[in-house]
Amino acid sequence: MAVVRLENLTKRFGNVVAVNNLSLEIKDGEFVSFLGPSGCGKTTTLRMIAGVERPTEGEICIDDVVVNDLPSKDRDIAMVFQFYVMYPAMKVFDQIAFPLKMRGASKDEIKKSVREVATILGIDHLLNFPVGGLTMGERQRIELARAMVRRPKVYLLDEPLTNLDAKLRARMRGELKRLIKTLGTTTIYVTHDQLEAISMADRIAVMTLGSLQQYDTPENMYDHPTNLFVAGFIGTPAINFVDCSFVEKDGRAFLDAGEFVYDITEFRENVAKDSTSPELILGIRPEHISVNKRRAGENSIEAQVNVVEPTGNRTIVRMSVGKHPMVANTGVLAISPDEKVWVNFDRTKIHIFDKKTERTII
Amino acid sequence: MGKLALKHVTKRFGDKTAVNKLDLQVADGQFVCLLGPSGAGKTTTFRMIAGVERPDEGEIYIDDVLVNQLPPKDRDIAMMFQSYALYPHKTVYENIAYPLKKRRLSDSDIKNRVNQVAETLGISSLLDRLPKQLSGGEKQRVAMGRAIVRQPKALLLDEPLTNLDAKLREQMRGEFKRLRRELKTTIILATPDQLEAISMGDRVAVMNFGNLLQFDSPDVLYNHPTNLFVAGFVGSPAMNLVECTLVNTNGRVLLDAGDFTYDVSRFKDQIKQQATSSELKLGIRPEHISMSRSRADGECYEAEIYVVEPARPDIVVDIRIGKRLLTALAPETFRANMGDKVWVTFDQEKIHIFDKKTEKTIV
Amino acid sequence: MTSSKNSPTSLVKKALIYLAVALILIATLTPLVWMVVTSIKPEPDILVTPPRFLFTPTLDHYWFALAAPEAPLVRGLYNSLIISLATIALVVPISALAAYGFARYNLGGGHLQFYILTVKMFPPIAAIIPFFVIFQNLNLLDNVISLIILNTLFNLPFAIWLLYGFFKEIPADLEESAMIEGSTRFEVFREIVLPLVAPGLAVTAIFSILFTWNEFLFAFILTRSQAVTLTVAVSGFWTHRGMLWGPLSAAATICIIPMFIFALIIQRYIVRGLTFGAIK
Repeated sequence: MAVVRLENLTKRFGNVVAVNNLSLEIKDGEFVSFLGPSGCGKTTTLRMIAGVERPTEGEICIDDVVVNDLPSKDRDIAMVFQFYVMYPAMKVFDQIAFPLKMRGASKDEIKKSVREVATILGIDHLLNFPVGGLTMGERQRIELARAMVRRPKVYLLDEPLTNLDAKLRARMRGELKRLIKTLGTTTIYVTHDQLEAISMADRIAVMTLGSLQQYDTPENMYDHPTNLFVAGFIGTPAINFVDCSFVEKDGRAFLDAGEFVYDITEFRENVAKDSTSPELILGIRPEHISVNKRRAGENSIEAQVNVVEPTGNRTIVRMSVGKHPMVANTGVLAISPDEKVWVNFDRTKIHIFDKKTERTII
Repeated sequence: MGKLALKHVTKRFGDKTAVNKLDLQVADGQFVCLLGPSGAGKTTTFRMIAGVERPDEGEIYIDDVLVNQLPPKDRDIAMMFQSYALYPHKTVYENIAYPLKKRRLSDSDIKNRVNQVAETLGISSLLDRLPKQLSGGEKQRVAMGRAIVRQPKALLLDEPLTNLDAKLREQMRGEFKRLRRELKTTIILATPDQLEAISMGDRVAVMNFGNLLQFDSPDVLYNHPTNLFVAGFVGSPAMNLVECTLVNTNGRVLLDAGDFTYDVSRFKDQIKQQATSSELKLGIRPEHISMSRSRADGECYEAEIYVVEPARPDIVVDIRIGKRLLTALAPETFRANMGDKVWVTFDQEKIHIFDKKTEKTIV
Repeated sequence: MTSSKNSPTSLVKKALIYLAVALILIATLTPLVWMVVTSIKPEPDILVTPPRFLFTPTLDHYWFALAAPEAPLVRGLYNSLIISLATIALVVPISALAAYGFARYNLGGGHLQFYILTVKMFPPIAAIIPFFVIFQNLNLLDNVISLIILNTLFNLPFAIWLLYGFFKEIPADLEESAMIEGSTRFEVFREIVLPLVAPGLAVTAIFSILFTWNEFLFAFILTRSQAVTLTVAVSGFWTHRGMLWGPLSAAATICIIPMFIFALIIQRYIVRGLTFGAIK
């Protein structure tokens, strides 16, 4: 149970700035995800919080205590890694008890704690079995149990689900979230998979090239990204970006994308105020595009279907509007490649970005 | 040109049966996906079609010609390995040109074809490089190039997307479909990823432990699975499968799942005919479960929200009815917290009933 | 575990390593250096104790060695060259084909491989008499052919064992892919597999040459005057008059020079070849 605060945290490796002036605060009991592509600095930040790496500048505080100079073992944190190093012959009980044994806890204490944690994680029936014969999912829970048994102040998880196959990962996401929320410990979860971050975290810190882009709830990240990178990184299939120019004519305002124009009169003031130039980017998420066989209203845009991918309860439609590619994610739809269709954007969900600054205007 | 037929094909390794009496017909120009977890027999089937492995039993026909005894080089099949199998000591150009050299095409013909293929796949700038200088995605395209440059009767692709990262995989799925329309060859693609199979294939053959379970269009597989494995394997999040017992009370036929019951009187004739026992499984896909704050008419169950994963476009909600956990999908406007109580209904048109023992679909 | 670069423990470690390397170098190089020095030392200075390092160098021993009838150095050089080259001409192709067979087809189910390896374990000196008799009956005594045969025979096991490792490293996928693309087994071997094991082939050739060049026992017993190898020729300086140290050293120096130059040229290929198989 702890508040973690990072202030102006910077880490340099020679000339490379891995983490650049990062400041954020994680509330007590919050589940925060550090999200970003590989090389963005998320793992380095985690390692600094863990104490395995020393910051070049800045401070790390756990519960208002600056821990920069405190060695890892004294920080009361637990780290869960991707690769589970387990002696195949060791019993599950011993595996989980290990950290407590290292701290010299009494036999009774150990027994009680291990049983407790194992029950929460649903592996209490495995306690007397050797680790060797167990499934990936079970091993993962053992690894979590080992981290939890000490009841540390903060959990640090470094892409723990990466090695699981897709189906197991999907199942474990929900389980893991439930477990962590039930335990209520402050947790930091590093991942490059945006779906994982969105599904599980209370708040997400999106990073790229060492800099923090946005630190917000999943809903806000999704609905109100602050810049082009966040908008493009979160969401799959990725958001559609269309280069266009801001045009005012006859008292109305439009986004001119060459092959089509989109009326944005109601946003005119904001766009005029916040844009640094008339070069803008229109953003619309695939699930906010509706595909129709016939023209549907004034703002309907003609498109040519290239590829149709049925995905079970939805359909991904890859189209071209002139030379602009566009992807829509609709419900089950009966269309075929090469068909001409009419697409409509959900007006309440469009985004407009300034092309130069890459910041969000709408 | 490119018709494939497998009749009762069987392959054993020691006392393990890798492929068991496989019957498969692939029409000319079709795009078929072999879907199944690892060990299902997909790669073994490929190797037998290509000729690198001999079936213990059964026959393989390419264009109605029995090819069991024909060596690989005479079958006019191209195969793309999961490992890409690029020749490390040859340049990209030489790798792609290899099959054409073997067919003794003239140098100018070879040059034309290779350049054409490289153009289609977007790798023209890489022709002078060696495989070790390429990224994963580039290697994959070179392997593709080598397979299609021959314009073979059939193209076998063994897990072509598995080794790529998630974003690239998503891009390549669309690319593949586009490419496929240009190629017009018969294509068989093996994959353990159900999303890949149903988004790309004209028809999908679901395999497990060497057996073919169902061979149908993605639509039919998704909405009308003929057995338990297919129902649970196709679709993500997976279909909810609840064990229950058939109960007759007061003239109504119910499925008793312990924590709740579901009226299936309207199916009672079908169940009576096909069920081998009263042990059944009820199947309902997450998107066919609806949740609301107030009780609805008809069969409605009280559930507790176990965990909410605010993914998009659909929010995944795990709910608990009694001790049972079910997964449901909600629209993006859904807002709820862990522990909230909601009322849950199943879409009547969309339920499935399976016989627990035979694993076959009844409804 | 995290000791900084200049901590005392790592300095001590470094010093120990340097010491060990120095000792090994001294042990290995001293005899060689001594030999070369002896070869240019004037006769009276050679057997003096304590050893004298200041002297006026002379090339007398070299002239003597080259002209001496009891040690036909030129003929020896010529024969050694022929035997070495012929041996690798036989060893490399045979071992390549054999190792490929073992690697891909598991010929002989592992037993044949083991049997071949045991040939290497066989002490050559025990085979000397039977071989002598055989070659005598075949009228091949004092003939380079008999030495070529023997050297090939005794180099094959090592070569096969070495190449087996290299062939095993080549993924079967590559070969199967080539066959599906239209190659016959042999074309696959020639165009795909061989180029990839080229470092292995080079290493095999190098080791075979080294062993053959330095081979003494068989050459000594089976040759008289015609097929004398360089090693045997050098031994000619062990006369009834005693060891002619000067000429002996000179001859020995002549003997190692070709190999020395050869080793300098190919040294980086040896390392690359040996580690090629190990790194995946």
